[in-house]
Amino acid sequence: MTTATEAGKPEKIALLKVLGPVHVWALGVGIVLVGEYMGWNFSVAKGGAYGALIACWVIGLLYTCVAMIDSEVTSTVAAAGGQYTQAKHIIGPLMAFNVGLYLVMAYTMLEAADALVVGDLLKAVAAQYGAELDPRPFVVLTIAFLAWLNYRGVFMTLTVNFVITAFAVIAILVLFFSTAGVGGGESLLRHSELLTDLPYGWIGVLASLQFGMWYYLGIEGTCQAAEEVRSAGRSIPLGTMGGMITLLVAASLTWYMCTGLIPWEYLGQATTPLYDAARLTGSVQLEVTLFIGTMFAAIASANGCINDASRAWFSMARDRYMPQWFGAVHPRYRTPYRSILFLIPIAVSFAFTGLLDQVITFSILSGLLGYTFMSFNIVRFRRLWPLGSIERGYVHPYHPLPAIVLGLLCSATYFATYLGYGTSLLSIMAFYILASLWFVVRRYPYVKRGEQFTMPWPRPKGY
Amino acid sequence: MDFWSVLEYAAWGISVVLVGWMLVDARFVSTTYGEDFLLSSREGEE
Repeated sequence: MTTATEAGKPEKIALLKVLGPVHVWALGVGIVLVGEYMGWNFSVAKGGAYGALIACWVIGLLYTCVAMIDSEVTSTVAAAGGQYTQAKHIIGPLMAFNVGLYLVMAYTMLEAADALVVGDLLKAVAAQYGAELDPRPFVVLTIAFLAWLNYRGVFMTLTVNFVITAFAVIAILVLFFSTAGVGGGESLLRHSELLTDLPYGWIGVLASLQFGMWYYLGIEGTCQAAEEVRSAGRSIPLGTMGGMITLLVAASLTWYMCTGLIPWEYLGQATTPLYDAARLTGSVQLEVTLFIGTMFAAIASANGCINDASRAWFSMARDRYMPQWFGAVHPRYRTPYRSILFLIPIAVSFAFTGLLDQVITFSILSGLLGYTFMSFNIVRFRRLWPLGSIERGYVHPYHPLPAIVLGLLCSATYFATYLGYGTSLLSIMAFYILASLWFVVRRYPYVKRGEQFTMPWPRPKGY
Repeated sequence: MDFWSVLEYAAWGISVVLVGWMLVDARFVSTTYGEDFLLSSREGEE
């Protein structure tokens, strides 16, 4: 049955525009904050405590450039698919296909890693009671429940994400105020005893850049909400830049507390450094708060990843870069329900490999490829549609400086990744080259070339 | 059967129910509405 209007034309359906800046913040910070609870500390193993701080701020600069550039382009190209849609309009189909694939792979693999973390945390709780718990059913339950939530509507999904992400942020603040002696209490932090020089010199600092990405990986996911926010020009820049400020503060506080409580040799290998820091305070309340914070951060991240991966897949299907069947919108919940369903077994498969570090490395590298794209995307965007030629919701300052800085920092991070995960780097490059070949030879003939360009922009300069 | 085993079975069970519910609903939507309508979303349109 096709629902029809009075005029006899088929009625159209679209994603629901119900989100505000708070939801955009919850989407971006929700995906990322798990990196503050775990993962960032591997940069300490590479470069020592000070090396990790340098990585935190240098990579913070990389992501500030990402957030500025993304806010400008997304406030203009307000459609689901985010960077995929940007690439389609500004660069071309092959770049768009690759960027879409980076997004789907990065978010689905991060979702799998988050679900693995939830399973491992529950296993650790059971072990404290002397029981042996199989984490797999909890990995599947995490993915299934969050997919169900996403299936039922974006407003509830991101409202839940806001609540649990806000709790995880507050948990970090509570730990800081309890340990740093702010407000008159005695400080528990022993920086003067625990901080050392750079143990592996500046090459160690360079190597630590790869893990510095954990502090912020995924903040660019805010632009996937562009088609579902009430005002893209206001909500996306506000939510993204607000999220970036939250993360810069949370990352600096996390480093400050953990390096003041845990010796760097141990910190560099810890699985859950913030939770471990809470345990070292001897306070049961702090231990419970940070355990719940860790759990919530992982769940919020997986939830946001399902939202973003499904939007990217949906957008590619809508343009027939992928089978069009996935481009359906649920008539009641107004979500890309087939894309959400399709990605469940993919995420479960990644999670069941159990290869947490490989899965996350693949996710990080996919993200890094996306950031590299952004650096030349903004240059081309400004050249083809200069300021004043089209309406922009936000204009980022100091262009082209952020694009140049972003390109340079991405190059440094590729080198850092090559030092630690050279084989993974080459494997992922081979994967995307093969995928590109498949797209050019087999898939591109199905793409509706004339209908891809949907923005009401004038002819680009020089064409 | 101890508490943790019950928890594992409950997790499997709830997962099956949730995924099953989504599959049944997706099937229901596909049989109730036409593909032209379900695929009518267009980028940049309200």
